[in-house]
Amino acid sequence: MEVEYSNYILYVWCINILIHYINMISINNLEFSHNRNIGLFKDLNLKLDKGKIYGLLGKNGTGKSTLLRLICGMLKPKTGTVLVDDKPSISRDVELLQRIYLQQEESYLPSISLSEYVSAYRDFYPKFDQEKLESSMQIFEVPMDSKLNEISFGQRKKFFLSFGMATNVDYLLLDEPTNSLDVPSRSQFRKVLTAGFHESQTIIISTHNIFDFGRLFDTVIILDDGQVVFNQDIEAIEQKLSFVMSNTFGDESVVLHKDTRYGEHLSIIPNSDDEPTLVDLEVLFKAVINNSKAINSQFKN
Amino acid sequence: MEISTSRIVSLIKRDWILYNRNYTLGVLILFVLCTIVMFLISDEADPETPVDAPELVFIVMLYFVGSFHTLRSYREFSRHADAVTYLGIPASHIEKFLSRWIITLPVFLSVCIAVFSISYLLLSIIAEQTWGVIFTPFSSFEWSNFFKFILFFIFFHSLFFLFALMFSKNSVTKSIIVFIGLWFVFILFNYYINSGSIQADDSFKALLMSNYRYLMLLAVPILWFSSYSILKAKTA
Repeated sequence: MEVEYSNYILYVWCINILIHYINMISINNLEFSHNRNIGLFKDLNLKLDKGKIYGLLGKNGTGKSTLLRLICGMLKPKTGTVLVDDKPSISRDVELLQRIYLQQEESYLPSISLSEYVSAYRDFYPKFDQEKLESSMQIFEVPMDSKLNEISFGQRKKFFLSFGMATNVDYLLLDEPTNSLDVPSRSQFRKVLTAGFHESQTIIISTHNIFDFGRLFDTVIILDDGQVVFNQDIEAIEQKLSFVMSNTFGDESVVLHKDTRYGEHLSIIPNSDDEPTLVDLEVLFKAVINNSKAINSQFKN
Repeated sequence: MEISTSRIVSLIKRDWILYNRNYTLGVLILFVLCTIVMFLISDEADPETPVDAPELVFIVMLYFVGSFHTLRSYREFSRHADAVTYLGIPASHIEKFLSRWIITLPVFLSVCIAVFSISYLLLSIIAEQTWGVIFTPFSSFEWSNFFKFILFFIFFHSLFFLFALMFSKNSVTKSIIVFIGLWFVFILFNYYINSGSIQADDSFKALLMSNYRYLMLLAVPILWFSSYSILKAKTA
Protein backbone atom coordinates (compact mmCIF):
# COMPACT_ATOMS: atom_id res chain seq x y z
CA MET A 1 0.00 0.00 0.00
CA GLU A 2 2.85 2.31 0.97
CA VAL A 3 4.67 1.49 -2.26
CA GLU A 4 1.56 2.34 -4.27
CA TYR A 5 1.18 5.66 -2.47
CA SER A 6 4.82 6.62 -3.08
CA ASN A 7 4.41 5.68 -6.75
CA TYR A 8 1.40 7.94 -6.90
CA ILE A 9 3.36 10.82 -5.31
CA LEU A 10 6.18 10.26 -7.81
CA TYR A 11 3.69 10.20 -10.66
CA VAL A 12 2.07 13.49 -9.56
CA TRP A 13 5.51 15.05 -9.09
CA CYS A 14 6.60 13.97 -12.59
CA ILE A 15 3.38 15.32 -14.12
CA ASN A 16 3.85 18.65 -12.33
CA ILE A 17 7.46 18.91 -13.51
CA LEU A 18 6.35 18.04 -17.05
CA ILE A 19 3.54 20.62 -17.03
CA HIS A 20 5.92 23.21 -15.59
CA TYR A 21 8.40 22.74 -18.41
CA ILE A 22 5.93 22.20 -21.23
CA ASN A 23 3.54 25.05 -20.45
CA MET A 24 5.54 28.03 -21.44
CA ILE A 25 6.36 30.53 -24.12
CA SER A 26 9.86 30.54 -25.48
CA ILE A 27 11.11 33.24 -27.84
CA ASN A 28 14.52 32.56 -29.34
CA ASN A 29 16.72 34.90 -31.42
CA LEU A 30 13.67 36.71 -32.70
CA GLU A 31 14.07 39.22 -35.49
CA PHE A 32 11.04 41.04 -36.82
CA SER A 33 10.32 44.20 -38.78
CA HIS A 34 7.14 45.76 -40.14
CA ASN A 35 9.09 47.19 -43.05
CA ARG A 36 12.37 46.19 -44.65
CA ASN A 37 14.48 49.09 -43.44
CA ILE A 38 13.61 49.42 -39.77
CA GLY A 39 14.01 46.31 -37.61
CA LEU A 40 11.72 46.21 -34.59
CA PHE A 41 13.23 43.23 -32.74
CA LYS A 42 16.88 42.25 -32.97
CA ASP A 43 17.89 38.90 -31.51
CA LEU A 44 15.18 39.02 -28.83
CA ASN A 45 15.12 36.16 -26.33
CA LEU A 46 12.46 35.62 -23.68
CA LYS A 47 10.99 32.77 -21.66
CA LEU A 48 7.60 33.01 -19.95
CA ASP A 49 6.49 30.42 -17.40
CA LYS A 50 3.05 29.28 -16.44
CA GLY A 51 1.23 30.52 -13.36
CA LYS A 52 2.45 34.08 -13.59
CA ILE A 53 1.13 37.52 -14.49
CA TYR A 54 3.66 39.37 -16.63
CA GLY A 55 3.75 43.12 -17.07
CA LEU A 56 5.07 44.04 -20.50
CA LEU A 57 6.29 47.63 -20.45
CA GLY A 58 7.96 49.81 -23.05
CA LYS A 59 7.86 53.19 -24.72
CA ASN A 60 5.52 53.84 -27.66
CA GLY A 61 6.58 51.91 -30.75
CA THR A 62 8.85 49.46 -28.94
CA GLY A 63 6.73 46.57 -30.18
CA LYS A 64 4.64 45.48 -27.18
CA SER A 65 1.52 44.81 -29.28
CA THR A 66 3.64 43.27 -32.04
CA LEU A 67 5.22 40.88 -29.54
CA LEU A 68 1.75 39.77 -28.38
CA ARG A 69 0.73 39.16 -32.01
CA LEU A 70 3.90 37.17 -32.63
CA ILE A 71 3.08 35.00 -29.60
CA CYS A 72 -0.41 34.41 -31.07
CA GLY A 73 1.07 33.45 -34.42
CA MET A 74 -0.62 36.34 -36.18
CA LEU A 75 2.74 37.62 -37.38
CA LYS A 76 5.61 35.66 -38.79
CA PRO A 77 9.15 36.16 -37.39
CA LYS A 78 11.80 37.18 -39.92
CA THR A 79 14.23 34.85 -38.19
CA GLY A 80 14.16 33.00 -34.88
CA THR A 81 11.27 31.16 -33.27
CA VAL A 82 8.29 31.85 -31.06
CA LEU A 83 7.35 28.58 -29.37
CA VAL A 84 4.22 28.11 -27.31
CA ASP A 85 4.45 24.81 -25.42
CA ASP A 86 7.19 23.74 -27.82
CA LYS A 87 5.06 24.40 -30.90
CA PRO A 88 5.84 27.29 -33.27
CA SER A 89 3.03 29.79 -32.77
CA ILE A 90 3.03 30.52 -36.51
CA SER A 91 1.73 26.97 -37.11
CA ARG A 92 -1.58 28.32 -35.73
CA ASP A 93 -2.88 24.83 -35.14
CA VAL A 94 -6.34 24.69 -33.63
CA GLU A 95 -5.30 23.10 -30.36
CA LEU A 96 -2.87 25.97 -29.81
CA LEU A 97 -5.36 28.69 -30.81
CA GLN A 98 -7.88 27.22 -28.34
CA ARG A 99 -5.39 27.95 -25.56
CA ILE A 100 -4.53 31.55 -26.46
CA TYR A 101 -6.76 34.61 -26.24
CA LEU A 102 -5.60 38.05 -27.30
CA GLN A 103 -7.58 41.05 -26.17
CA GLN A 104 -6.60 43.75 -28.59
CA GLU A 105 -6.72 47.46 -28.13
CA GLU A 106 -8.89 47.81 -31.20
CA SER A 107 -11.56 45.15 -31.59
CA TYR A 108 -14.08 44.01 -34.16
CA LEU A 109 -17.48 45.48 -33.30
CA PRO A 110 -20.45 43.90 -35.02
CA SER A 111 -23.91 45.33 -34.39
CA ILE A 112 -25.02 42.56 -32.03
CA SER A 113 -25.69 42.27 -28.31
CA LEU A 114 -23.00 41.10 -25.90
CA SER A 115 -24.87 37.83 -25.29
CA GLU A 116 -25.07 37.23 -29.05
CA TYR A 117 -21.33 37.84 -29.30
CA VAL A 118 -20.76 35.25 -26.58
CA SER A 119 -22.99 32.74 -28.44
CA ALA A 120 -21.02 33.37 -31.63
CA TYR A 121 -17.58 32.76 -30.13
CA ARG A 122 -17.83 30.61 -26.99
CA ASP A 123 -18.02 27.30 -28.89
CA PHE A 124 -14.45 27.76 -30.07
CA TYR A 125 -13.08 27.62 -26.52
CA PRO A 126 -13.55 24.17 -24.96
CA LYS A 127 -13.07 25.40 -21.37
CA PHE A 128 -15.43 28.39 -21.69
CA ASP A 129 -17.12 29.20 -18.36
CA GLN A 130 -20.43 31.06 -18.71
CA GLU A 131 -20.74 31.60 -14.93
CA LYS A 132 -17.31 33.21 -14.79
CA LEU A 133 -18.34 35.57 -17.60
CA GLU A 134 -21.58 36.52 -15.87
CA SER A 135 -19.90 37.15 -12.51
CA SER A 136 -17.23 39.35 -14.18
CA MET A 137 -19.92 41.29 -16.03
CA GLN A 138 -21.78 41.77 -12.74
CA ILE A 139 -18.63 43.19 -11.13
CA PHE A 140 -18.19 45.52 -14.11
CA GLU A 141 -21.93 46.39 -14.12
CA VAL A 142 -22.30 46.03 -17.89
CA PRO A 143 -25.68 44.56 -19.01
CA MET A 144 -25.39 41.62 -21.40
CA ASP A 145 -28.23 42.87 -23.62
CA SER A 146 -26.26 46.01 -24.57
CA LYS A 147 -25.19 46.35 -28.20
CA LEU A 148 -21.46 45.89 -28.70
CA ASN A 149 -21.13 48.85 -31.09
CA GLU A 150 -23.24 51.14 -28.90
CA ILE A 151 -21.49 50.82 -25.54
CA SER A 152 -18.54 53.01 -24.55
CA PHE A 153 -14.92 52.14 -25.28
CA GLY A 154 -14.33 51.42 -21.58
CA GLN A 155 -17.35 49.10 -21.37
CA ARG A 156 -16.09 47.20 -24.40
CA LYS A 157 -12.74 46.75 -22.66
CA LYS A 158 -14.58 45.34 -19.65
CA PHE A 159 -16.61 42.98 -21.80
CA PHE A 160 -13.63 41.66 -23.77
CA LEU A 161 -11.65 41.17 -20.55
CA SER A 162 -14.58 39.24 -19.03
CA PHE A 163 -14.89 37.14 -22.19
CA GLY A 164 -11.12 36.50 -22.22
CA MET A 165 -11.16 35.40 -18.56
CA ALA A 166 -14.18 33.15 -19.21
CA THR A 167 -12.38 31.32 -22.05
CA ASN A 168 -10.08 29.82 -19.37
CA VAL A 169 -7.26 29.70 -21.88
CA ASP A 170 -3.70 28.93 -20.77
CA TYR A 171 -2.35 32.14 -22.29
CA LEU A 172 -4.31 35.34 -21.87
CA LEU A 173 -2.71 38.29 -23.63
CA LEU A 174 -4.08 41.73 -22.78
CA ASP A 175 -3.07 44.72 -24.88
CA GLU A 176 -3.56 48.00 -22.98
CA PRO A 177 -6.55 46.60 -21.03
CA THR A 178 -7.06 49.61 -18.76
CA ASN A 179 -7.00 52.35 -21.41
CA SER A 180 -10.21 54.41 -21.18
CA LEU A 181 -11.29 52.83 -17.88
CA ASP A 182 -12.47 55.20 -15.16
CA VAL A 183 -11.00 55.02 -11.64
CA PRO A 184 -13.62 52.61 -10.12
CA SER A 185 -13.40 50.40 -13.20
CA ARG A 186 -9.65 50.02 -12.76
CA SER A 187 -10.09 48.50 -9.33
CA GLN A 188 -12.92 46.33 -10.72
CA PHE A 189 -10.47 45.24 -13.43
CA ARG A 190 -7.91 44.13 -10.82
CA LYS A 191 -10.66 42.29 -8.92
CA VAL A 192 -11.83 40.41 -12.03
CA LEU A 193 -8.29 39.55 -13.05
CA THR A 194 -7.23 38.20 -9.67
CA ALA A 195 -10.52 36.32 -9.17
CA GLY A 196 -10.34 34.66 -12.58
CA PHE A 197 -6.63 33.86 -12.67
CA HIS A 198 -5.68 30.21 -12.17
CA GLU A 199 -2.32 28.56 -11.53
CA SER A 200 -2.00 26.88 -14.92
CA GLN A 201 -2.52 30.20 -16.67
CA THR A 202 -0.07 32.79 -17.97
CA ILE A 203 -1.29 36.36 -18.32
CA ILE A 204 0.74 38.94 -20.23
CA ILE A 205 -0.40 42.54 -19.82
CA SER A 206 1.02 45.14 -22.17
CA THR A 207 0.46 48.58 -20.70
CA HIS A 208 1.49 52.19 -20.25
CA ASN A 209 -0.74 52.62 -17.21
CA ILE A 210 1.73 51.26 -14.68
CA PHE A 211 -0.21 52.61 -11.68
CA ASP A 212 -3.26 50.46 -12.49
CA PHE A 213 -1.50 47.25 -11.70
CA GLY A 214 0.22 47.85 -8.39
CA ARG A 215 1.37 44.49 -7.10
CA LEU A 216 -0.60 42.53 -9.67
CA PHE A 217 2.47 41.68 -11.76
CA ASP A 218 4.63 38.73 -10.76
CA THR A 219 7.28 39.67 -13.29
CA VAL A 220 8.15 42.91 -15.05
CA ILE A 221 9.50 42.83 -18.61
CA ILE A 222 10.73 46.03 -20.21
CA LEU A 223 11.32 46.33 -23.94
CA ASP A 224 13.60 48.93 -25.45
CA ASP A 225 15.44 49.26 -28.74
CA GLY A 226 14.31 45.87 -30.02
CA GLN A 227 15.52 43.98 -26.95
CA VAL A 228 14.31 42.80 -23.56
CA VAL A 229 16.29 45.18 -21.38
CA PHE A 230 14.80 44.07 -18.06
CA ASN A 231 13.09 40.86 -16.95
CA GLN A 232 12.78 40.30 -13.22
CA ASP A 233 10.28 38.96 -10.70
CA ILE A 234 8.73 41.54 -8.40
CA GLU A 235 10.07 39.61 -5.39
CA ALA A 236 13.63 39.88 -6.74
CA ILE A 237 13.17 43.60 -7.40
CA GLU A 238 11.90 44.09 -3.84
CA GLN A 239 14.92 42.24 -2.49
CA LYS A 240 17.56 43.93 -4.63
CA LEU A 241 16.36 47.52 -4.99
CA SER A 242 15.14 50.21 -2.66
CA PHE A 243 12.86 53.00 -3.80
CA VAL A 244 13.50 55.90 -1.43
CA MET A 245 12.94 59.61 -1.02
CA SER A 246 16.27 61.32 -1.87
CA ASN A 247 16.53 63.20 1.42
CA THR A 248 16.38 60.02 3.49
CA PHE A 249 19.93 58.86 2.75
CA GLY A 250 23.33 60.50 2.57
CA ASP A 251 25.60 58.58 0.23
CA GLU A 252 24.99 59.81 -3.34
CA SER A 253 27.50 57.35 -4.84
CA VAL A 254 25.16 54.38 -4.34
CA VAL A 255 22.28 56.00 -6.25
CA LEU A 256 21.35 53.97 -9.35
CA HIS A 257 18.71 56.40 -10.58
CA LYS A 258 17.26 59.74 -9.53
CA ASP A 259 13.83 61.00 -10.41
CA THR A 260 11.46 63.83 -9.55
CA ARG A 261 7.69 63.47 -9.12
CA TYR A 262 5.47 66.35 -8.02
CA GLY A 263 8.53 68.12 -6.63
CA GLU A 264 9.59 65.08 -4.59
CA HIS A 265 12.97 63.50 -5.30
CA LEU A 266 12.86 59.73 -5.64
CA SER A 267 15.88 57.48 -5.99
CA ILE A 268 16.67 53.86 -6.56
CA ILE A 269 19.49 52.45 -4.49
CA PRO A 270 20.68 48.88 -3.88
CA ASN A 271 18.70 47.23 -1.09
CA SER A 272 21.22 46.62 1.61
CA ASP A 273 18.66 45.37 4.16
CA ASP A 274 16.88 42.04 4.07
CA GLU A 275 13.56 43.88 4.22
CA PRO A 276 11.76 43.99 0.87
CA THR A 277 10.72 47.48 -0.26
CA LEU A 278 7.66 48.63 -2.15
CA VAL A 279 8.39 48.77 -5.89
CA ASP A 280 7.66 52.00 -7.73
CA LEU A 281 7.13 50.73 -11.29
CA GLU A 282 7.21 54.18 -12.86
CA VAL A 283 10.60 55.03 -11.38
CA LEU A 284 11.89 51.55 -12.16
CA PHE A 285 10.75 51.89 -15.79
CA LYS A 286 12.50 55.25 -16.20
CA ALA A 287 15.64 53.90 -14.54
CA VAL A 288 15.79 50.90 -16.87
CA ILE A 289 15.22 53.03 -19.96
CA ASN A 290 17.96 55.49 -18.86
CA ASN A 291 20.52 52.97 -17.70
CA SER A 292 19.51 49.33 -17.83
CA LYS A 293 23.09 48.14 -17.16
CA ALA A 294 23.21 49.80 -13.75
CA ILE A 295 19.86 48.34 -12.72
CA ASN A 296 20.54 44.87 -14.13
CA SER A 297 23.93 44.72 -12.43
CA GLN A 298 22.09 44.47 -9.11
CA PHE A 299 20.55 41.16 -10.14
CA LYS A 300 23.78 39.40 -11.16
CA ASN A 301 24.29 37.52 -7.89
CA MET B 1 -5.21 18.82 -42.13
CA GLU B 2 -7.56 19.43 -39.19
CA ILE B 3 -11.24 19.18 -40.05
CA SER B 4 -13.95 19.08 -37.40
CA THR B 5 -17.61 19.14 -38.39
CA SER B 6 -18.56 20.76 -35.08
CA ARG B 7 -16.12 23.64 -35.65
CA ILE B 8 -17.43 24.15 -39.20
CA VAL B 9 -20.95 24.27 -37.74
CA SER B 10 -19.73 26.74 -35.09
CA LEU B 11 -18.21 28.94 -37.82
CA ILE B 12 -21.49 28.89 -39.77
CA LYS B 13 -23.39 29.63 -36.55
CA ARG B 14 -21.03 32.56 -35.90
CA ASP B 15 -21.68 33.92 -39.40
CA TRP B 16 -25.43 33.57 -38.90
CA ILE B 17 -25.33 35.43 -35.57
CA LEU B 18 -23.19 38.23 -37.03
CA TYR B 19 -24.95 38.64 -40.35
CA ASN B 20 -28.47 37.19 -39.91
CA ARG B 21 -30.12 40.60 -40.34
CA ASN B 22 -28.33 41.13 -43.67
CA TYR B 23 -29.11 37.60 -44.82
CA THR B 24 -32.80 37.79 -43.86
CA LEU B 25 -33.23 41.21 -45.45
CA GLY B 26 -31.42 40.00 -48.59
CA VAL B 27 -33.66 36.95 -48.95
CA LEU B 28 -36.80 39.07 -48.41
CA ILE B 29 -35.72 41.65 -51.04
CA LEU B 30 -34.83 38.82 -53.42
CA PHE B 31 -38.22 37.20 -52.87
CA VAL B 32 -40.21 40.42 -53.39
CA LEU B 33 -38.19 41.45 -56.48
CA CYS B 34 -38.41 37.97 -57.98
CA THR B 35 -42.20 37.88 -57.52
CA ILE B 36 -42.68 41.43 -58.90
CA VAL B 37 -40.46 40.82 -61.96
CA MET B 38 -42.17 37.52 -62.75
CA PHE B 39 -45.57 39.16 -62.36
CA LEU B 40 -44.55 41.97 -64.74
CA ILE B 41 -43.28 39.62 -67.45
CA SER B 42 -46.12 37.12 -67.08
CA ASP B 43 -48.80 36.76 -69.71
CA GLU B 44 -52.34 36.28 -68.42
CA ALA B 45 -53.56 35.29 -71.88
CA ASP B 46 -51.43 32.16 -71.86
CA PRO B 47 -51.99 30.20 -68.64
CA GLU B 48 -50.04 27.23 -70.00
CA THR B 49 -46.79 29.19 -70.33
CA PRO B 50 -47.40 32.13 -68.00
CA VAL B 51 -43.86 33.54 -67.75
CA ASP B 52 -42.05 34.26 -70.99
CA ALA B 53 -38.53 33.79 -69.71
CA PRO B 54 -38.44 32.41 -66.16
CA GLU B 55 -34.88 31.26 -66.76
CA LEU B 56 -33.84 34.89 -67.12
CA VAL B 57 -35.17 35.75 -63.67
CA PHE B 58 -33.45 32.71 -62.22
CA ILE B 59 -30.15 33.53 -63.98
CA VAL B 60 -30.17 37.16 -62.83
CA MET B 61 -30.93 36.09 -59.29
CA LEU B 62 -28.37 33.30 -59.26
CA TYR B 63 -25.48 34.99 -61.04
CA PHE B 64 -25.74 38.62 -59.98
CA VAL B 65 -26.84 38.16 -56.39
CA GLY B 66 -24.73 35.01 -56.02
CA SER B 67 -21.59 36.72 -57.32
CA PHE B 68 -22.13 39.73 -55.05
CA HIS B 69 -22.77 37.43 -52.06
CA THR B 70 -19.60 35.44 -52.85
CA LEU B 71 -17.51 38.59 -53.32
CA ARG B 72 -18.57 39.78 -49.87
CA SER B 73 -17.77 36.45 -48.23
CA TYR B 74 -14.42 37.61 -46.81
CA ARG B 75 -15.47 41.15 -45.93
CA GLU B 76 -13.45 40.87 -42.67
CA PHE B 77 -10.22 41.35 -44.57
CA SER B 78 -11.15 44.91 -45.55
CA ARG B 79 -10.74 46.06 -41.92
CA HIS B 80 -7.64 45.23 -39.89
CA ALA B 81 -9.33 44.62 -36.52
CA ASP B 82 -11.98 42.39 -38.12
CA ALA B 83 -9.33 40.40 -39.99
CA VAL B 84 -7.28 39.82 -36.84
CA THR B 85 -10.41 38.72 -34.93
CA TYR B 86 -11.41 36.32 -37.73
CA LEU B 87 -7.94 34.84 -38.10
CA GLY B 88 -7.68 34.45 -34.32
CA ILE B 89 -10.72 32.15 -34.16
CA PRO B 90 -9.53 28.71 -33.08
CA ALA B 91 -10.36 26.85 -36.27
CA SER B 92 -8.12 25.55 -39.04
CA HIS B 93 -7.69 27.23 -42.42
CA ILE B 94 -9.60 24.47 -44.14
CA GLU B 95 -12.49 24.76 -41.67
CA LYS B 96 -12.67 28.52 -42.24
CA PHE B 97 -12.53 27.95 -45.98
CA LEU B 98 -15.20 25.24 -45.95
CA SER B 99 -17.61 27.20 -43.74
CA ARG B 100 -17.65 30.12 -46.21
CA TRP B 101 -17.74 27.75 -49.17
CA ILE B 102 -20.87 26.08 -47.73
CA ILE B 103 -22.56 29.45 -47.11
CA THR B 104 -21.82 30.83 -50.57
CA LEU B 105 -22.44 27.72 -52.65
CA PRO B 106 -24.78 24.96 -51.41
CA VAL B 107 -26.66 27.17 -48.94
CA PHE B 108 -27.02 30.08 -51.37
CA LEU B 109 -28.01 27.75 -54.21
CA SER B 110 -30.68 26.09 -52.04
CA VAL B 111 -32.03 29.45 -50.86
CA CYS B 112 -32.08 30.75 -54.45
CA ILE B 113 -33.98 27.71 -55.74
CA ALA B 114 -36.41 27.93 -52.80
CA VAL B 115 -37.03 31.68 -53.36
CA PHE B 116 -37.56 31.15 -57.08
CA SER B 117 -39.92 28.20 -56.54
CA ILE B 118 -41.98 29.97 -53.89
CA SER B 119 -42.16 33.13 -56.04
CA TYR B 120 -43.36 31.08 -59.01
CA LEU B 121 -46.04 29.40 -56.86
CA LEU B 122 -47.03 32.75 -55.36
CA LEU B 123 -47.32 34.19 -58.86
CA SER B 124 -49.95 31.54 -59.65
CA ILE B 125 -51.99 32.65 -56.63
CA ILE B 126 -51.60 36.37 -57.48
CA ALA B 127 -52.52 35.70 -61.12
CA GLU B 128 -55.65 33.84 -60.06
CA GLN B 129 -56.66 36.68 -57.74
CA THR B 130 -55.82 39.43 -60.27
CA TRP B 131 -56.78 38.01 -63.64
CA GLY B 132 -58.85 35.01 -62.65
CA VAL B 133 -56.61 32.61 -64.59
CA ILE B 134 -54.93 29.57 -63.15
CA PHE B 135 -51.29 29.37 -64.21
CA THR B 136 -49.42 26.12 -64.42
CA PRO B 137 -46.25 26.73 -62.42
CA PHE B 138 -42.92 25.81 -63.99
CA SER B 139 -44.62 24.82 -67.24
CA SER B 140 -42.45 27.18 -69.28
CA PHE B 141 -39.27 26.51 -67.38
CA GLU B 142 -36.60 24.83 -69.50
CA TRP B 143 -35.43 22.14 -67.11
CA SER B 144 -32.76 21.02 -69.56
CA ASN B 145 -31.05 24.35 -69.00
CA PHE B 146 -31.28 24.14 -65.22
CA PHE B 147 -28.15 22.04 -64.70
CA LYS B 148 -26.26 24.16 -67.23
CA PHE B 149 -27.09 27.25 -65.14
CA ILE B 150 -25.91 25.49 -62.01
CA LEU B 151 -22.66 24.45 -63.69
CA PHE B 152 -21.98 28.00 -64.84
CA PHE B 153 -22.80 29.29 -61.36
CA ILE B 154 -20.32 26.87 -59.78
CA PHE B 155 -17.67 28.17 -62.19
CA PHE B 156 -18.50 31.81 -61.41
CA HIS B 157 -18.54 30.99 -57.70
CA SER B 158 -15.03 29.55 -57.81
CA LEU B 159 -13.79 32.62 -59.71
CA PHE B 160 -15.48 35.18 -57.42
CA PHE B 161 -14.49 33.24 -54.31
CA LEU B 162 -10.89 33.66 -55.45
CA PHE B 163 -11.44 37.38 -56.14
CA ALA B 164 -12.98 37.83 -52.66
CA LEU B 165 -9.72 36.62 -51.13
CA MET B 166 -7.42 38.31 -53.64
CA PHE B 167 -8.91 41.77 -53.19
CA SER B 168 -9.20 42.63 -49.50
CA LYS B 169 -10.47 46.16 -50.11
CA ASN B 170 -13.12 47.24 -52.65
CA SER B 171 -13.45 43.60 -53.68
CA VAL B 172 -16.68 44.17 -55.66
CA THR B 173 -15.32 47.03 -57.84
CA LYS B 174 -11.94 45.40 -58.43
CA SER B 175 -13.51 42.04 -59.24
CA ILE B 176 -15.94 43.57 -61.75
CA ILE B 177 -13.02 45.29 -63.54
CA VAL B 178 -10.94 42.08 -63.63
CA PHE B 179 -13.97 40.04 -64.70
CA ILE B 180 -14.73 42.44 -67.57
CA GLY B 181 -11.04 42.24 -68.57
CA LEU B 182 -11.10 38.44 -68.55
CA TRP B 183 -14.36 38.42 -70.48
CA PHE B 184 -12.82 40.74 -73.09
CA VAL B 185 -9.79 38.42 -73.44
CA PHE B 186 -12.13 35.44 -73.83
CA ILE B 187 -14.16 37.22 -76.56
CA LEU B 188 -10.96 38.21 -78.40
CA PHE B 189 -9.64 34.66 -78.18
CA ASN B 190 -12.94 33.33 -79.47
CA TYR B 191 -12.94 35.88 -82.30
CA TYR B 192 -9.38 35.07 -83.42
CA ILE B 193 -10.03 31.32 -83.27
CA ASN B 194 -13.16 31.69 -85.42
CA SER B 195 -11.59 34.20 -87.82
CA GLY B 196 -8.58 31.98 -88.33
CA SER B 197 -6.04 34.52 -87.04
CA ILE B 198 -4.96 31.96 -84.48
CA GLN B 199 -4.03 28.73 -86.22
CA ALA B 200 -6.21 25.97 -84.88
CA ASP B 201 -7.44 23.02 -86.86
CA ASP B 202 -11.12 22.23 -87.01
CA SER B 203 -10.83 19.17 -84.82
CA PHE B 204 -9.27 21.32 -82.04
CA LYS B 205 -12.07 23.90 -82.38
CA ALA B 206 -14.65 21.13 -82.25
CA LEU B 207 -12.96 19.61 -79.23
CA LEU B 208 -12.91 22.98 -77.50
CA MET B 209 -16.56 23.72 -78.26
CA SER B 210 -17.87 20.32 -77.27
CA ASN B 211 -15.85 20.07 -74.08
CA TYR B 212 -16.05 23.62 -72.67
CA ARG B 213 -18.20 22.41 -69.80
CA TYR B 214 -15.57 19.90 -68.79
CA LEU B 215 -12.88 22.55 -69.08
CA MET B 216 -14.90 24.76 -66.74
CA LEU B 217 -15.33 21.87 -64.34
CA LEU B 218 -11.60 21.30 -64.45
CA ALA B 219 -10.92 24.95 -63.63
CA VAL B 220 -13.29 24.94 -60.62
CA PRO B 221 -11.19 22.82 -58.20
CA ILE B 222 -8.04 24.67 -59.30
CA LEU B 223 -9.69 28.01 -58.46
CA TRP B 224 -10.98 26.69 -55.11
CA PHE B 225 -7.56 25.38 -54.22
CA SER B 226 -6.03 28.76 -55.15
CA SER B 227 -8.56 30.48 -52.85
CA TYR B 228 -7.64 28.13 -50.01
CA SER B 229 -3.93 28.84 -50.56
CA ILE B 230 -4.54 32.60 -50.43
CA LEU B 231 -6.56 32.25 -47.20
CA LYS B 232 -3.73 30.21 -45.68
CA ALA B 233 -1.13 32.75 -46.79
CA LYS B 234 -3.16 35.62 -45.27
CA THR B 235 -2.69 34.24 -41.76
CA ALA B 236 1.02 35.08 -41.73
